[in-house]
Amino acid sequence: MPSGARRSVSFGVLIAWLGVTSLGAADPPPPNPRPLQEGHAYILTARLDPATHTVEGTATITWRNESRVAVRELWLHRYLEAFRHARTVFMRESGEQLRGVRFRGGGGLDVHALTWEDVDLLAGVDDDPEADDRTQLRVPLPREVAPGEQLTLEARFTAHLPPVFARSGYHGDFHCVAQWFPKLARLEPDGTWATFPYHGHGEFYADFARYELDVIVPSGWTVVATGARQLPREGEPTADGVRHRFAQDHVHDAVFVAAPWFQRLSARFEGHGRTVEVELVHPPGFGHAAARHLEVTLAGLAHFAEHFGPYPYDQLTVVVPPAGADGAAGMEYPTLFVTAGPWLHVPGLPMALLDEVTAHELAHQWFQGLVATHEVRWPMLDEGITEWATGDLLERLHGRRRSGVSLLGVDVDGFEIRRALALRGRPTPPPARPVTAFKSGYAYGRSVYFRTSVILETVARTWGRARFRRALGRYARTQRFRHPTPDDLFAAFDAEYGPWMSREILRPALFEGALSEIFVAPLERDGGHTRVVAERRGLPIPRRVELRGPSGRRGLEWPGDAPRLELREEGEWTSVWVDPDGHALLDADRRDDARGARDGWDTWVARALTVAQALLGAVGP
Amino acid sequence: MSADDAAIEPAGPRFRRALGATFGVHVALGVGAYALGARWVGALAGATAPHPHGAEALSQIAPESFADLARSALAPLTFLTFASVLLQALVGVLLQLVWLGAMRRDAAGWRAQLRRALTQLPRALALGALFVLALVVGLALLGALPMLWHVALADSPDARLHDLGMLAACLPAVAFAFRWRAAHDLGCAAISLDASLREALRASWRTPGTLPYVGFWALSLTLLALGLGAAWTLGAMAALFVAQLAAFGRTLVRARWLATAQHRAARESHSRHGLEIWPSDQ
Ligand SMILES: [Zn+2]
Repeated sequence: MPSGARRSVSFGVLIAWLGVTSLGAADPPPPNPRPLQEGHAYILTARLDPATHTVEGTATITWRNESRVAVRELWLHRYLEAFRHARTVFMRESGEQLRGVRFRGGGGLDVHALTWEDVDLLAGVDDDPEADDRTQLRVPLPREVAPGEQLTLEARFTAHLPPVFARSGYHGDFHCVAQWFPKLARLEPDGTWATFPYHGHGEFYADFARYELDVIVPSGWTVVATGARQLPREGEPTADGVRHRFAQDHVHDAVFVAAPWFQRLSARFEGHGRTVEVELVHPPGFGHAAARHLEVTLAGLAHFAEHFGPYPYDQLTVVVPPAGADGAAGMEYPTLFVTAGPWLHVPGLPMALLDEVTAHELAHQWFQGLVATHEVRWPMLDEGITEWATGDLLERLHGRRRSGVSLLGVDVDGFEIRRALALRGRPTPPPARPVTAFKSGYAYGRSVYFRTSVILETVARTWGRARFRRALGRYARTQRFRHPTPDDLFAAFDAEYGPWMSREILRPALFEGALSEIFVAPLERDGGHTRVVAERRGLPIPRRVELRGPSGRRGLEWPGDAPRLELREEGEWTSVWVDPDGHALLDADRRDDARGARDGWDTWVARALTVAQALLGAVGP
Repeated sequence: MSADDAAIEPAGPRFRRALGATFGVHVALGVGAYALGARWVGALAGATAPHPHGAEALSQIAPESFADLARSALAPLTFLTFASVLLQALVGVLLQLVWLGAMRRDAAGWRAQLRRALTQLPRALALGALFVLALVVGLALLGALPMLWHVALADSPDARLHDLGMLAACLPAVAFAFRWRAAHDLGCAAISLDASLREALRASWRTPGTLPYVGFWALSLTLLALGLGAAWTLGAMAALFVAQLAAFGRTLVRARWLATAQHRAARESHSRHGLEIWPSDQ
């Protein structure tokens, strides 16, 4: 679709230009210049057999002890083992289903050989540190590895792909090959291994490294992967197929996706001193939707670069999965993400809802790809901040009122939907918890994704979006290629707002689940005066108050340090609305934020008759 | 139209003759729907209340409002739908026979019409039972089409081909449902002219009535949309006026179609048997 691609390019350049000009006087800290990858590399080879859905692979893993102490063991992850049977940690936690897709079995990662300096390490491994879960390998070493010392492991393995279930697997000829090689856990500076089994909702925490990837697939197949292509697009013929080669510095994972029927769109992003080749592959029939995904990707590259520092890699790949491969959809990897959505897209009618997944997975390139937090320990720093950035981009693309839904004249703010998902119904736990502390995937999603994003958006709307972007931008830039914790996030915010921000707002909201709820009492009128009484419970968030009446509107400020509002205003006001601009989202029910006079009985009779007639027309004989 | 057909009274006079009955049907059903309408309005009000700026604040309060509306209004809507189906089965057929009876050239007072409708009722119920059977068998057969398409394209990555094909494969079933509904009305119209069950069946499937039926149905839907649109956008009293008008218009359109069906059923019988059948309606 050359025309779609061309249109997207011009759109991206326009957004990029807008981004550059609006940067203005802002003086963001420079991105962290030193990626922590020296001494870390994965040289991987893979041969995909689409008939058996297996990958024969080898890995040469270089690793350096960056801690302060000598180590006597290594921890390797082989996360495809999570799909071996229904009793793994992943399956027990997820109830054998993830995002509505059911487990059908058939995964695994067999490690046939593992050596260091020609010593076989496999004989001594403990492959079952948790009952029934073989997703971790504890590998005792024949001798100590001193701080600063480097080692090189050689491994040979077979990856068995499951029918696509959780991120990894196959659907027909579509092969999404993720978590497919033995991978080292991350060694913390104090010499402890940050190792964990494959959880249903958390998987990433690894060192930045150089990744090189050789993939052999049948001829005629398309392969996309983490990193820049090192061979022509059509690959290089070998005895048993076609070889594709990719390489990338400063990333913490590598995946590849292959299918024989992929169609392709591409565009070049230029802006913020960077040129990025964007490639999108999609199944036949998805042309219009794919063009929109590309458009959103280009706009997002400019938007996120402006606020969180430029995208540092030379290429970005977007995969649109086929219908039926929902298990692989909506997943982020370094320099590559899998989006989601139907083929149906009406050109010229952009719906925020359909842009959501692309915006979210693209935002992960910053909050996970570059700011590489411990996803299992602090999922809110990964999914929560990403979800906020998603909503921020959708607001920019569609406007606040239409950033959620805009259909048949009903506009809904995207963050109001996130608010309702996070706060309505059963209480959600606070988001600042590890993945394992959440009882269900539903509670995890409501708290980590939506509650976190609503807390952040409340700060952005109440104290100004530009200021908020500076604070989050400071965190994103200084923590680039690092592995920060919530304290690093709070430090960046306190530097922008002052120490009260983390003490009075962010910590109580994120760690204790504090809200800020408004209750307005019915208006009372006496002798030419109107009495307004309202109460706030929870966080000290200031709000604007608006009185309305026949003579017009009057705005007032309700400061954050007053938990109660009592006014006796001159004039006959008919309604009062606290926070009419919808800034303070940490309120579980927005309907009691306003009060007015009630409608008369005749209005209600008329409405009832109207509805009665409409119903009669719909279902009468 | 043959020379003989000219002896059959067209739909227009039949429709005009039954205007009183049509109004009666409209009022009777309107009173029944009122209680549920009030329940619905209560649910609508509860979903936004006590927020006085419901429509303006919708962008903010839509999530909780829609959730509450679904919780409190889905039950009455479901009840209404089932009640309507039940009503159709119990008194709907009788009501339709009385309504059609009022369109006959020899239409008498409502007591006489009710008596005649009661004698026709067993035939009409038998016709309905046969039609339900036909509907089940027909939809089961036609429902196999989309299933076959789905199985045939199970391994194709092209979701657009699959979905559009599924849509196309469902069209015969939709067409069948329209044809079925039109045929059922034609059969009832024949019974309202004292035809036997066998004659009614013949009239229902021999008389091409689908196109006019679809036309009247589309007109009904347009009027209904107009009424609903008015309810959302106009003030309470203006909305009431427009909605009443739209709903009554919808009842009139239905009456006009029934008159058409009766005319067609009479013509079918006339062209087959000459004048000796249904002398009351020449
Ligand atoms: Zn995510």
